[in-house]
Amino acid sequence: MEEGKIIIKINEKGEIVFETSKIKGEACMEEMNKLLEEIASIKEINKTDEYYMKDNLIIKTNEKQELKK
Amino acid sequence: MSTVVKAFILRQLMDQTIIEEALKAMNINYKKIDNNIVVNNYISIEILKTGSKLKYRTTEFWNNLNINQFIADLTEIYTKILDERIQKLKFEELKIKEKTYFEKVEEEEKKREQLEIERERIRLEAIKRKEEAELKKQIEEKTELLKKKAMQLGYQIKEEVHGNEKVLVLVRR
Repeated sequence: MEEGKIIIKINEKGEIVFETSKIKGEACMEEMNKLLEEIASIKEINKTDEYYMKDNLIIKTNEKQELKK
Repeated sequence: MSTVVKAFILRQLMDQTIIEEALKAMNINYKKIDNNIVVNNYISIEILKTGSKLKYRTTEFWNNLNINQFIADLTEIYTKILDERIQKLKFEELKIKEKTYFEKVEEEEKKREQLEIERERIRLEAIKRKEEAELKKQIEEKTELLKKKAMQLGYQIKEEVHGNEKVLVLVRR
């Protein structure tokens, strides 16, 4: 049985879309921080309804922004 | 006793327009009949292809002295007008040369600006290409790092490529 699923989409411009499911809200943020730390800077976070049920989260990052720093 | 004679060499005056202008300046009325500029009953100037030929006959009124005086005045004024015209044309020529020079300088300045703009565009395009190559490299490196971290966190990783997009599906059971 799945404990959690994360789909990470990376395009040629260095933009990353990070979608999680079956990971509770705060745990989701922690997981995201662990994975994206030193890899990408977060541009925006769109929390889904499921997130407030502590279940789901969609995050967009921008690899290019981090590269410029 | 001695006699002093002021004389001059008779010469042809070769430009009809200047002859007419000189006559006007001398306030002498004339008529143009065929190839002749007729001043009065006693004097006319025949315009030839190579120059003018003064035709005159002496009278009591227009004696030799008067005619000589007329020729001297006409020649003097003709020469003055000719010189003035040459000077005027030289000045106009200089003005055109000056204008042409400034136009050339302006044209060269435009070309220089165009080259600078082109050089700057080429420089920025080169930077863009370099940054794109660097980004591509970073995407590869960061994707590998992401996969490594995901494995350390206990995820199973499935990697797919959709067009220009790379998709990592991380699943933890």
